[in-house]
Amino acid sequence: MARLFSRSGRGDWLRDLPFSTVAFRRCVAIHRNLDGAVFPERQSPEGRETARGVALRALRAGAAERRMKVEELPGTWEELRRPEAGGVLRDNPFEGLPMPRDPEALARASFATVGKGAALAVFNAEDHLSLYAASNAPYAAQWRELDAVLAGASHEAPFAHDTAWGYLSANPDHAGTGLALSFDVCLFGLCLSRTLDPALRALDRLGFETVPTFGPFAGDESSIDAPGCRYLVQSIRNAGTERDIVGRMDATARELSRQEQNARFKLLDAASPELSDFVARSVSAGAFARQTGQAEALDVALAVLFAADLRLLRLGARQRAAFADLVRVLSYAETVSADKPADPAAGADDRARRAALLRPLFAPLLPQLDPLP
Amino acid sequence: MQCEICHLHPATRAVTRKIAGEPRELYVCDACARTAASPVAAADGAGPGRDVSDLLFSIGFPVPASKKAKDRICPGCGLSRGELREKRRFGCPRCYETFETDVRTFLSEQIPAAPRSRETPAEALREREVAKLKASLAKAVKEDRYEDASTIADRLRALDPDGGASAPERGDG
Repeated sequence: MARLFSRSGRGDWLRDLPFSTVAFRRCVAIHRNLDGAVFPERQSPEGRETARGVALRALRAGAAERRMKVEELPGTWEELRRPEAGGVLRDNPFEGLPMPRDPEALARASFATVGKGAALAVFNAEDHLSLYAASNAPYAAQWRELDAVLAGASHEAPFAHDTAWGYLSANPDHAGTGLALSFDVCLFGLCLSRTLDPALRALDRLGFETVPTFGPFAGDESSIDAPGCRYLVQSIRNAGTERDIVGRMDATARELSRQEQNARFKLLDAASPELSDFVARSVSAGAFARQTGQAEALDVALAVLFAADLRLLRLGARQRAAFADLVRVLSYAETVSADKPADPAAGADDRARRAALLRPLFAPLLPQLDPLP
Repeated sequence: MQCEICHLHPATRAVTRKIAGEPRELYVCDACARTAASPVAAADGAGPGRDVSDLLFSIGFPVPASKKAKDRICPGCGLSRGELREKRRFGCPRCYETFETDVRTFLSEQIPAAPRSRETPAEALREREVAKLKASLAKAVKEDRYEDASTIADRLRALDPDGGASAPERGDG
Protein backbone atom coordinates (compact mmCIF):
# COMPACT_ATOMS: atom_id res chain seq x y z
CA MET A 1 0.00 0.00 0.00
CA ALA A 2 2.98 2.25 0.45
CA ARG A 3 3.28 3.30 -3.17
CA LEU A 4 -0.45 3.84 -3.65
CA PHE A 5 -0.82 6.15 -0.68
CA SER A 6 2.49 7.94 -1.03
CA ARG A 7 1.01 10.77 -3.06
CA SER A 8 -2.24 11.19 -1.22
CA GLY A 9 -0.86 10.96 2.29
CA ARG A 10 -3.49 11.19 4.96
CA GLY A 11 -5.74 13.27 2.80
CA ASP A 12 -5.69 16.40 4.97
CA TRP A 13 -5.69 18.37 1.73
CA LEU A 14 -9.17 16.94 1.01
CA ARG A 15 -10.76 19.31 3.46
CA ASP A 16 -9.69 22.34 1.45
CA LEU A 17 -10.98 21.15 -1.88
CA PRO A 18 -13.90 22.99 -3.41
CA PHE A 19 -17.42 21.66 -3.64
CA SER A 20 -16.82 20.53 -7.18
CA THR A 21 -14.63 17.56 -6.32
CA VAL A 22 -17.51 15.60 -4.84
CA ALA A 23 -20.79 17.16 -5.89
CA PHE A 24 -20.33 18.84 -9.19
CA ARG A 25 -22.36 20.32 -11.93
CA ARG A 26 -25.30 21.95 -10.23
CA CYS A 27 -28.25 21.95 -12.59
CA VAL A 28 -31.12 24.41 -12.56
CA ALA A 29 -34.25 23.88 -14.64
CA ILE A 30 -37.22 26.22 -15.03
CA HIS A 31 -40.36 24.98 -16.76
CA ARG A 32 -43.00 27.18 -18.41
CA ASN A 33 -46.06 26.73 -20.59
CA LEU A 34 -47.81 29.11 -22.93
CA ASP A 35 -50.95 30.75 -21.62
CA GLY A 36 -54.14 29.52 -23.22
CA ALA A 37 -52.56 26.49 -24.88
CA VAL A 38 -53.02 22.82 -24.19
CA PHE A 39 -49.90 21.14 -22.80
CA PRO A 40 -47.63 19.42 -25.35
CA GLU A 41 -48.65 15.83 -24.70
CA ARG A 42 -52.25 16.49 -25.71
CA GLN A 43 -51.47 18.79 -28.59
CA SER A 44 -51.57 17.76 -32.21
CA PRO A 45 -48.24 17.82 -34.08
CA GLU A 46 -49.36 21.03 -35.80
CA GLY A 47 -50.29 22.56 -32.47
CA ARG A 48 -46.91 21.65 -31.04
CA GLU A 49 -45.13 23.17 -34.01
CA THR A 50 -47.07 26.39 -33.55
CA ALA A 51 -46.35 26.40 -29.83
CA ARG A 52 -42.68 25.81 -30.52
CA GLY A 53 -42.59 28.78 -32.85
CA VAL A 54 -44.23 31.05 -30.29
CA ALA A 55 -41.98 29.83 -27.47
CA LEU A 56 -38.86 30.21 -29.62
CA ARG A 57 -39.79 33.77 -30.59
CA ALA A 58 -40.44 34.64 -26.97
CA LEU A 59 -37.16 33.05 -25.92
CA ARG A 60 -35.22 35.01 -28.52
CA ALA A 61 -36.80 38.22 -27.24
CA GLY A 62 -35.97 37.37 -23.63
CA ALA A 63 -32.41 36.34 -24.48
CA ALA A 64 -31.85 39.47 -26.56
CA GLU A 65 -32.59 41.60 -23.49
CA ARG A 66 -29.64 39.83 -21.83
CA ARG A 67 -27.53 40.15 -25.01
CA MET A 68 -27.64 36.40 -25.59
CA LYS A 69 -28.28 34.56 -28.83
CA VAL A 70 -30.50 31.55 -29.30
CA GLU A 71 -29.31 28.87 -31.70
CA GLU A 72 -31.54 25.99 -32.67
CA LEU A 73 -30.05 22.50 -32.53
CA PRO A 74 -31.00 19.86 -35.10
CA GLY A 75 -32.01 16.34 -34.16
CA THR A 76 -33.37 14.43 -31.20
CA TRP A 77 -31.81 14.23 -27.76
CA GLU A 78 -30.11 10.91 -28.47
CA GLU A 79 -28.76 12.16 -31.78
CA LEU A 80 -27.38 15.28 -30.21
CA ARG A 81 -25.58 13.33 -27.50
CA ARG A 82 -24.04 10.50 -29.53
CA PRO A 83 -20.34 10.89 -30.15
CA GLU A 84 -20.60 8.42 -33.05
CA ALA A 85 -23.01 10.78 -34.75
CA GLY A 86 -20.65 13.69 -34.15
CA GLY A 87 -23.19 14.80 -31.60
CA VAL A 88 -23.27 18.55 -31.21
CA LEU A 89 -23.68 18.21 -27.46
CA ARG A 90 -20.85 15.74 -27.05
CA ASP A 91 -18.57 18.11 -25.20
CA ASN A 92 -21.40 20.05 -23.77
CA PRO A 93 -21.97 20.19 -20.02
CA PHE A 94 -25.62 19.25 -20.61
CA GLU A 95 -24.96 15.55 -21.04
CA GLY A 96 -26.53 13.54 -18.24
CA LEU A 97 -29.11 16.25 -17.49
CA PRO A 98 -32.31 15.27 -15.69
CA MET A 99 -34.38 15.16 -18.87
CA PRO A 100 -37.97 13.83 -18.76
CA ARG A 101 -38.00 10.04 -18.38
CA ASP A 102 -40.95 9.58 -20.70
CA PRO A 103 -39.37 8.48 -24.01
CA GLU A 104 -42.31 9.92 -25.97
CA ALA A 105 -41.77 13.33 -24.37
CA LEU A 106 -38.09 13.21 -25.23
CA ALA A 107 -38.72 11.99 -28.77
CA ARG A 108 -41.01 14.93 -29.63
CA ALA A 109 -38.76 17.54 -27.98
CA SER A 110 -36.61 20.01 -29.90
CA PHE A 111 -33.63 21.96 -28.58
CA ALA A 112 -31.73 25.20 -28.73
CA THR A 113 -28.79 26.68 -26.89
CA VAL A 114 -28.94 30.11 -25.30
CA GLY A 115 -25.92 32.33 -24.92
CA LYS A 116 -23.33 29.98 -26.50
CA GLY A 117 -24.18 27.09 -24.22
CA ALA A 118 -24.97 29.04 -21.08
CA ALA A 119 -28.39 27.42 -21.09
CA LEU A 120 -30.21 24.68 -22.98
CA ALA A 121 -33.78 25.29 -24.13
CA VAL A 122 -36.10 22.32 -24.57
CA PHE A 123 -39.38 22.74 -26.44
CA ASN A 124 -42.44 20.48 -26.21
CA ALA A 125 -41.12 17.77 -23.91
CA GLU A 126 -43.43 17.87 -20.87
CA ASP A 127 -43.66 21.66 -21.07
CA HIS A 128 -43.73 24.13 -23.93
CA LEU A 129 -40.43 25.63 -22.79
CA SER A 130 -37.87 24.42 -20.29
CA LEU A 131 -34.56 26.11 -19.66
CA TYR A 132 -31.63 24.18 -18.18
CA ALA A 133 -28.36 25.55 -16.87
CA ALA A 134 -25.59 23.27 -15.59
CA SER A 135 -22.29 24.39 -14.10
CA ASN A 136 -20.43 24.67 -10.81
CA ALA A 137 -21.85 28.15 -10.26
CA PRO A 138 -24.16 28.58 -7.24
CA TYR A 139 -27.82 27.71 -7.77
CA ALA A 140 -28.95 31.24 -6.99
CA ALA A 141 -26.74 32.75 -9.70
CA GLN A 142 -27.88 30.24 -12.32
CA TRP A 143 -31.52 30.62 -11.39
CA ARG A 144 -31.39 34.42 -11.56
CA GLU A 145 -29.94 34.30 -15.06
CA LEU A 146 -32.59 31.89 -16.35
CA ASP A 147 -35.35 33.78 -14.57
CA ALA A 148 -34.27 37.02 -16.21
CA VAL A 149 -34.41 35.44 -19.67
CA LEU A 150 -37.87 34.01 -19.00
CA ALA A 151 -39.12 37.30 -17.59
CA GLY A 152 -38.18 38.93 -20.88
CA ALA A 153 -39.77 36.07 -22.81
CA SER A 154 -43.04 36.46 -20.92
CA HIS A 155 -43.43 39.98 -22.32
CA GLU A 156 -43.57 38.47 -25.77
CA ALA A 157 -45.77 35.47 -24.88
CA PRO A 158 -47.38 35.22 -21.43
CA PHE A 159 -46.96 31.98 -19.52
CA ALA A 160 -49.79 29.93 -18.03
CA HIS A 161 -50.15 31.05 -14.45
CA ASP A 162 -52.76 30.83 -11.72
CA THR A 163 -52.90 32.91 -8.55
CA ALA A 164 -53.59 29.79 -6.48
CA TRP A 165 -51.24 27.29 -8.09
CA GLY A 166 -48.49 29.44 -9.59
CA TYR A 167 -47.03 28.51 -12.97
CA LEU A 168 -48.99 25.64 -14.48
CA SER A 169 -47.56 22.51 -16.02
CA ALA A 170 -48.65 19.08 -17.19
CA ASN A 171 -46.36 17.65 -14.54
CA PRO A 172 -47.63 18.55 -11.06
CA ASP A 173 -44.03 18.50 -9.80
CA HIS A 174 -43.33 21.43 -12.15
CA ALA A 175 -46.30 23.50 -10.98
CA GLY A 176 -45.76 26.43 -8.65
CA THR A 177 -42.38 28.00 -9.20
CA GLY A 178 -41.59 25.63 -12.06
CA LEU A 179 -38.10 25.39 -10.60
CA ALA A 180 -36.28 22.07 -10.36
CA LEU A 181 -32.75 21.63 -9.03
CA SER A 182 -30.29 18.75 -9.13
CA PHE A 183 -26.61 17.98 -8.77
CA ASP A 184 -24.25 15.24 -9.87
CA VAL A 185 -22.31 13.51 -7.15
CA CYS A 186 -19.68 10.79 -6.83
CA LEU A 187 -20.16 8.75 -3.65
CA PHE A 188 -17.32 6.26 -3.86
CA GLY A 189 -16.20 7.19 -0.36
CA LEU A 190 -19.56 6.41 1.23
CA CYS A 191 -19.85 3.30 -0.90
CA LEU A 192 -16.46 1.90 0.04
CA SER A 193 -17.00 2.65 3.70
CA ARG A 194 -20.43 0.96 3.50
CA THR A 195 -22.36 4.03 4.61
CA LEU A 196 -24.07 4.73 1.31
CA ASP A 197 -27.48 3.23 2.09
CA PRO A 198 -28.23 5.46 5.11
CA ALA A 199 -27.29 8.52 3.07
CA LEU A 200 -29.59 7.54 0.20
CA ARG A 201 -32.43 6.78 2.61
CA ALA A 202 -32.00 10.16 4.26
CA LEU A 203 -32.15 11.88 0.88
CA ASP A 204 -35.32 9.98 0.07
CA ARG A 205 -36.95 11.05 3.34
CA LEU A 206 -36.08 14.65 2.63
CA GLY A 207 -37.88 14.55 -0.72
CA PHE A 208 -34.93 14.05 -3.06
CA GLU A 209 -34.75 11.47 -5.78
CA THR A 210 -31.39 9.79 -6.30
CA VAL A 211 -30.85 7.96 -9.58
CA PRO A 212 -27.77 6.49 -11.26
CA THR A 213 -26.22 8.95 -13.68
CA PHE A 214 -24.72 6.36 -16.00
CA GLY A 215 -25.20 2.84 -17.15
CA PRO A 216 -28.15 0.67 -18.10
CA PHE A 217 -30.16 1.92 -15.13
CA ALA A 218 -29.44 5.61 -15.65
CA GLY A 219 -32.38 7.67 -14.52
CA ASP A 220 -34.12 4.67 -12.98
CA GLU A 221 -35.27 5.65 -9.52
CA SER A 222 -35.86 2.03 -8.56
CA SER A 223 -32.19 1.18 -9.00
CA ILE A 224 -29.40 2.11 -6.62
CA ASP A 225 -26.80 0.18 -8.57
CA ALA A 226 -24.81 3.02 -10.07
CA PRO A 227 -21.66 2.50 -12.09
CA GLY A 228 -18.89 4.61 -10.64
CA CYS A 229 -21.13 5.46 -7.70
CA ARG A 230 -22.24 8.46 -9.73
CA TYR A 231 -25.69 9.69 -8.79
CA LEU A 232 -27.96 12.46 -9.87
CA VAL A 233 -29.72 13.96 -6.87
CA GLN A 234 -32.79 15.91 -7.80
CA SER A 235 -35.33 17.79 -5.79
CA ILE A 236 -38.73 16.44 -6.75
CA ARG A 237 -40.80 18.12 -4.11
CA ASN A 238 -40.51 21.80 -4.71
CA ALA A 239 -42.83 23.41 -2.22
CA GLY A 240 -42.13 26.99 -1.25
CA THR A 241 -40.56 29.99 -2.91
CA GLU A 242 -37.53 29.90 -5.19
CA ARG A 243 -35.43 31.10 -2.31
CA ASP A 244 -36.66 28.21 -0.13
CA ILE A 245 -35.95 25.64 -2.84
CA VAL A 246 -32.47 26.99 -3.56
CA GLY A 247 -31.65 27.21 0.14
CA ARG A 248 -32.72 23.63 0.79
CA MET A 249 -30.80 22.29 -2.15
CA ASP A 250 -27.64 24.18 -1.22
CA ALA A 251 -27.83 22.85 2.32
CA THR A 252 -28.41 19.28 1.16
CA ALA A 253 -25.59 19.36 -1.39
CA ARG A 254 -23.20 20.79 1.20
CA GLU A 255 -24.13 18.18 3.78
CA LEU A 256 -23.83 15.27 1.35
CA SER A 257 -20.48 16.58 0.14
CA ARG A 258 -19.31 16.89 3.71
CA GLN A 259 -20.26 13.28 4.44
CA GLU A 260 -18.55 12.06 1.30
CA GLN A 261 -15.41 14.09 2.01
CA ASN A 262 -15.31 12.70 5.55
CA ALA A 263 -15.69 9.16 4.25
CA ARG A 264 -12.82 9.70 1.78
CA PHE A 265 -10.71 11.29 4.48
CA LYS A 266 -11.22 8.31 6.76
CA LEU A 267 -10.35 5.88 3.98
CA LEU A 268 -7.13 7.75 3.21
CA ASP A 269 -6.30 8.36 6.85
CA ALA A 270 -6.54 4.65 7.54
CA ALA A 271 -4.68 3.77 4.33
CA SER A 272 -7.72 1.58 3.94
CA PRO A 273 -7.02 -1.87 2.51
CA GLU A 274 -10.47 -1.75 0.89
CA LEU A 275 -9.50 1.40 -0.94
CA SER A 276 -6.19 0.06 -2.20
CA ASP A 277 -7.85 -3.20 -3.20
CA PHE A 278 -10.58 -1.25 -5.02
CA VAL A 279 -8.05 0.77 -7.00
CA ALA A 280 -5.88 -2.22 -7.81
CA ARG A 281 -8.85 -4.31 -8.94
CA SER A 282 -10.21 -1.53 -11.12
CA VAL A 283 -6.91 -0.91 -12.87
CA SER A 284 -6.25 -4.63 -13.32
CA ALA A 285 -9.76 -5.32 -14.61
CA GLY A 286 -9.34 -2.68 -17.28
CA ALA A 287 -5.75 -3.61 -18.19
CA PHE A 288 -6.49 -7.32 -18.64
CA ALA A 289 -10.08 -7.10 -19.91
CA ARG A 290 -11.15 -9.49 -22.67
CA GLN A 291 -14.96 -9.25 -22.40
CA THR A 292 -16.54 -6.32 -20.57
CA GLY A 293 -20.14 -5.29 -20.00
CA GLN A 294 -21.20 -1.64 -20.10
CA ALA A 295 -21.77 -1.26 -16.36
CA GLU A 296 -18.48 -2.95 -15.47
CA ALA A 297 -16.54 -0.81 -17.94
CA LEU A 298 -18.11 2.36 -16.56
CA ASP A 299 -17.34 1.25 -13.03
CA VAL A 300 -13.62 0.78 -13.62
CA ALA A 301 -13.28 3.92 -15.75
CA LEU A 302 -14.95 6.08 -13.11
CA ALA A 303 -12.93 4.35 -10.39
CA VAL A 304 -9.71 5.49 -12.07
CA LEU A 305 -10.95 9.09 -12.20
CA PHE A 306 -11.94 8.85 -8.53
CA ALA A 307 -8.52 7.42 -7.61
CA ALA A 308 -6.86 10.26 -9.53
CA ASP A 309 -8.95 12.78 -7.57
CA LEU A 310 -7.64 11.20 -4.38
CA ARG A 311 -4.07 11.29 -5.76
CA LEU A 312 -3.86 7.54 -5.53
CA LEU A 313 -3.12 7.39 -9.25
CA ARG A 314 -1.22 9.89 -11.32
CA LEU A 315 -2.97 10.89 -14.54
CA GLY A 316 -1.59 13.38 -17.02
CA ALA A 317 -3.96 15.91 -18.57
CA ARG A 318 -4.31 13.88 -21.76
CA GLN A 319 -4.89 10.67 -19.84
CA ARG A 320 -7.56 12.33 -17.74
CA ALA A 321 -9.29 13.66 -20.85
CA ALA A 322 -9.09 10.21 -22.45
CA PHE A 323 -10.73 8.59 -19.43
CA ALA A 324 -13.44 11.27 -19.35
CA ASP A 325 -14.07 10.62 -23.05
CA LEU A 326 -14.17 6.90 -22.41
CA VAL A 327 -16.85 7.39 -19.76
CA ARG A 328 -18.88 9.46 -22.18
CA VAL A 329 -18.66 6.86 -24.95
CA LEU A 330 -19.44 3.98 -22.60
CA SER A 331 -22.47 5.71 -21.17
CA TYR A 332 -24.20 6.23 -24.51
CA ALA A 333 -24.56 2.86 -26.14
CA GLU A 334 -24.17 -0.81 -25.63
CA THR A 335 -22.04 -0.91 -28.73
CA VAL A 336 -18.97 1.21 -29.14
CA SER A 337 -18.42 0.97 -32.82
CA ALA A 338 -18.65 4.20 -34.80
CA ASP A 339 -20.34 2.50 -37.73
CA LYS A 340 -22.87 0.44 -35.87
CA PRO A 341 -25.97 1.91 -34.24
CA ALA A 342 -26.96 0.99 -30.70
CA ASP A 343 -28.00 -2.64 -30.49
CA PRO A 344 -30.01 -3.63 -27.40
CA ALA A 345 -29.07 -7.26 -27.92
CA ALA A 346 -25.34 -6.58 -27.65
CA GLY A 347 -23.39 -9.78 -27.89
CA ALA A 348 -19.88 -11.08 -27.36
CA ASP A 349 -18.43 -8.97 -30.17
CA ASP A 350 -19.50 -5.80 -28.45
CA ARG A 351 -18.11 -6.91 -25.12
CA ALA A 352 -14.79 -7.71 -26.79
CA ARG A 353 -14.75 -4.36 -28.59
CA ARG A 354 -15.43 -2.59 -25.30
CA ALA A 355 -12.59 -4.43 -23.60
CA ALA A 356 -10.30 -3.44 -26.46
CA LEU A 357 -11.07 0.20 -25.68
CA LEU A 358 -10.10 -0.24 -22.04
CA ARG A 359 -6.79 -2.08 -22.32
CA PRO A 360 -4.58 0.64 -23.86
CA LEU A 361 -5.78 3.20 -21.30
CA PHE A 362 -5.47 1.02 -18.20
CA ALA A 363 -2.25 -0.85 -18.94
CA PRO A 364 0.04 2.18 -18.40
CA LEU A 365 -1.36 2.56 -14.89
CA LEU A 366 -0.23 -0.89 -13.72
CA PRO A 367 3.26 0.22 -12.59
CA GLN A 368 1.64 2.71 -10.22
CA LEU A 369 0.09 -0.10 -8.18
CA ASP A 370 1.82 -1.63 -5.20
CA PRO A 371 3.70 -4.80 -6.04
CA LEU A 372 2.20 -8.04 -4.80
CA PRO A 373 3.82 -9.37 -1.63
CA MET B 1 -64.23 23.62 -4.24
CA GLN B 2 -66.46 23.35 -1.18
CA CYS B 3 -67.43 20.12 0.51
CA GLU B 4 -70.67 18.86 -0.98
CA ILE B 5 -72.00 17.82 2.41
CA CYS B 6 -71.24 20.64 4.82
CA HIS B 7 -70.52 23.36 2.20
CA LEU B 8 -68.25 24.95 4.78
CA HIS B 9 -64.79 23.49 4.33
CA PRO B 10 -62.75 22.89 1.16
CA ALA B 11 -63.16 19.44 -0.33
CA THR B 12 -60.02 17.36 0.06
CA ARG B 13 -61.07 13.89 -1.04
CA ALA B 14 -63.47 12.10 -3.30
CA VAL B 15 -65.64 9.35 -1.87
CA THR B 16 -68.40 7.25 -3.38
CA ARG B 17 -71.80 6.97 -1.73
CA LYS B 18 -74.94 5.28 -2.80
CA ILE B 19 -77.55 7.95 -3.28
CA ALA B 20 -81.00 6.68 -4.12
CA GLY B 21 -79.45 3.35 -4.93
CA GLU B 22 -77.02 4.79 -7.46
CA PRO B 23 -73.30 5.21 -6.75
CA ARG B 24 -72.29 8.81 -6.84
CA GLU B 25 -68.96 10.47 -6.30
CA LEU B 26 -68.96 13.20 -3.71
CA TYR B 27 -66.22 15.72 -2.97
CA VAL B 28 -66.02 16.10 0.76
CA CYS B 29 -63.80 17.50 3.48
CA ASP B 30 -61.94 15.24 5.91
CA ALA B 31 -64.47 15.79 8.67
CA CYS B 32 -67.46 14.80 6.57
CA ALA B 33 -65.59 11.82 5.22
CA ARG B 34 -65.42 10.52 8.77
CA THR B 35 -69.06 11.03 9.76
CA ALA B 36 -71.01 7.86 10.33
CA ALA B 37 -73.84 8.78 7.99
CA SER B 38 -74.17 11.62 5.54
CA PRO B 39 -77.29 13.77 5.68
CA VAL B 40 -77.61 13.33 1.93
CA ALA B 41 -77.70 9.57 2.15
CA ALA B 42 -79.98 9.69 5.19
CA ALA B 43 -82.33 11.97 3.35
CA ASP B 44 -82.42 9.49 0.51
CA GLY B 45 -83.29 6.77 2.90
CA ALA B 46 -80.16 4.64 2.95
CA GLY B 47 -81.36 1.69 4.96
CA PRO B 48 -79.77 -1.01 7.05
CA GLY B 49 -78.87 -3.04 3.99
CA ARG B 50 -75.87 -0.83 3.22
CA ASP B 51 -73.21 -2.22 0.95
CA VAL B 52 -69.46 -2.32 1.54
CA SER B 53 -68.87 1.10 0.00
CA ASP B 54 -71.34 2.65 2.42
CA LEU B 55 -69.60 0.95 5.31
CA LEU B 56 -66.18 2.13 4.21
CA PHE B 57 -67.51 5.64 3.76
CA SER B 58 -68.96 5.68 7.22
CA ILE B 59 -65.65 4.80 8.82
CA GLY B 60 -63.80 7.39 6.82
CA PHE B 61 -61.85 5.40 4.24
CA PRO B 62 -61.73 6.91 0.77
CA VAL B 63 -63.60 4.69 -1.63
CA PRO B 64 -62.28 4.33 -5.15
CA ALA B 65 -64.62 5.91 -7.66
CA SER B 66 -67.10 3.35 -8.91
CA LYS B 67 -66.71 2.34 -12.50
CA LYS B 68 -70.33 3.14 -13.01
CA ALA B 69 -69.86 6.72 -11.80
CA LYS B 70 -69.59 9.32 -14.55
CA ASP B 71 -65.99 10.33 -15.18
CA ARG B 72 -65.29 14.05 -15.06
CA ILE B 73 -63.90 15.48 -18.29
CA CYS B 74 -61.93 18.69 -18.69
CA PRO B 75 -63.71 20.99 -21.16
CA GLY B 76 -60.39 22.47 -22.25
CA CYS B 77 -58.61 19.36 -23.46
CA GLY B 78 -60.92 16.37 -22.96
CA LEU B 79 -58.75 14.76 -20.29
CA SER B 80 -60.75 12.48 -18.00
CA ARG B 81 -60.21 12.04 -14.30
CA GLY B 82 -59.33 8.40 -14.91
CA GLU B 83 -56.58 9.37 -17.33
CA LEU B 84 -55.33 12.01 -14.94
CA ARG B 85 -55.07 9.57 -12.07
CA GLU B 86 -53.45 6.95 -14.23
CA LYS B 87 -50.80 9.14 -15.83
CA ARG B 88 -50.57 11.86 -13.19
CA ARG B 89 -50.31 14.46 -15.94
CA PHE B 90 -52.62 17.39 -16.64
CA GLY B 91 -53.76 18.21 -20.15
CA CYS B 92 -54.16 21.97 -20.12
CA PRO B 93 -54.35 24.91 -17.66
CA ARG B 94 -58.13 24.41 -17.28
CA CYS B 95 -57.49 20.99 -15.76
CA TYR B 96 -56.34 22.73 -12.61
CA GLU B 97 -59.83 24.15 -12.20
CA THR B 98 -61.72 21.07 -13.37
CA PHE B 99 -59.83 18.62 -11.17
CA GLU B 100 -59.19 20.87 -8.22
CA THR B 101 -59.38 18.05 -5.68
CA ASP B 102 -56.76 16.04 -7.53
CA VAL B 103 -54.55 19.11 -7.76
CA ARG B 104 -54.73 19.45 -3.99
CA THR B 105 -53.89 15.77 -3.59
CA PHE B 106 -50.90 15.95 -5.94
CA LEU B 107 -49.56 19.13 -4.44
CA SER B 108 -50.14 17.92 -0.89
CA GLU B 109 -47.43 15.36 -1.68
CA GLN B 110 -45.04 18.27 -2.22
CA ILE B 111 -43.58 18.13 1.23
CA PRO B 112 -40.59 20.41 1.68
CA ALA B 113 -37.20 18.79 1.21
CA ALA B 114 -36.18 20.00 4.65
CA PRO B 115 -38.05 21.16 7.74
CA ARG B 116 -40.13 24.17 6.85
CA SER B 117 -38.52 27.44 7.66
CA ARG B 118 -41.18 29.17 9.66
CA GLU B 119 -41.20 31.80 12.26
CA THR B 120 -40.52 30.13 15.58
CA PRO B 121 -43.32 30.86 17.98
CA ALA B 122 -42.42 33.33 20.68
CA GLU B 123 -42.93 30.67 23.32
CA ALA B 124 -40.35 28.35 21.76
CA LEU B 125 -37.88 31.26 21.43
CA ARG B 126 -38.33 32.16 25.06
CA GLU B 127 -37.79 28.59 26.18
CA ARG B 128 -34.60 28.34 24.19
CA GLU B 129 -33.32 31.57 25.66
CA VAL B 130 -34.16 30.38 29.19
CA ALA B 131 -32.28 27.12 28.64
CA LYS B 132 -29.24 29.00 27.35
CA LEU B 133 -29.27 31.38 30.29
CA LYS B 134 -29.55 28.52 32.76
CA ALA B 135 -26.52 26.84 31.24
CA SER B 136 -24.60 30.13 31.36
CA LEU B 137 -25.63 30.64 34.97
CA ALA B 138 -24.38 27.21 35.98
CA LYS B 139 -21.09 27.83 34.21
CA ALA B 140 -20.61 31.24 35.80
CA VAL B 141 -21.22 29.80 39.26
CA LYS B 142 -18.81 26.97 38.64
CA GLU B 143 -16.13 29.44 37.55
CA ASP B 144 -16.78 31.69 40.57
CA ARG B 145 -17.89 34.58 38.35
CA TYR B 146 -20.56 35.71 40.77
CA GLU B 147 -21.17 39.14 39.30
CA ASP B 148 -21.84 37.61 35.89
CA ALA B 149 -24.01 34.99 37.51
CA SER B 150 -26.03 37.68 39.22
CA THR B 151 -26.61 39.49 35.92
CA ILE B 152 -27.63 36.26 34.23
CA ALA B 153 -29.97 35.41 37.08
CA ASP B 154 -31.67 38.79 36.73
CA ARG B 155 -32.20 38.18 33.04
CA LEU B 156 -33.56 34.73 33.80
CA ARG B 157 -36.01 36.10 36.32
CA ALA B 158 -37.24 38.58 33.75
CA LEU B 159 -37.87 35.80 31.21
CA ASP B 160 -39.01 33.09 33.56
CA PRO B 161 -40.42 34.49 36.78
CA ASP B 162 -41.57 31.07 37.97
CA GLY B 163 -38.44 29.25 36.93
CA GLY B 164 -36.75 29.69 40.26
CA ALA B 165 -33.55 31.18 38.97
CA SER B 166 -32.02 32.37 42.17
CA ALA B 167 -28.84 34.33 42.23
CA PRO B 168 -26.11 32.17 43.68
CA GLU B 169 -24.92 33.08 47.10
CA ARG B 170 -21.69 34.95 47.13
CA GLY B 171 -18.86 33.12 48.68
CA ASP B 172 -17.47 34.39 51.90
CA GLY B 173 -15.07 37.12 51.11
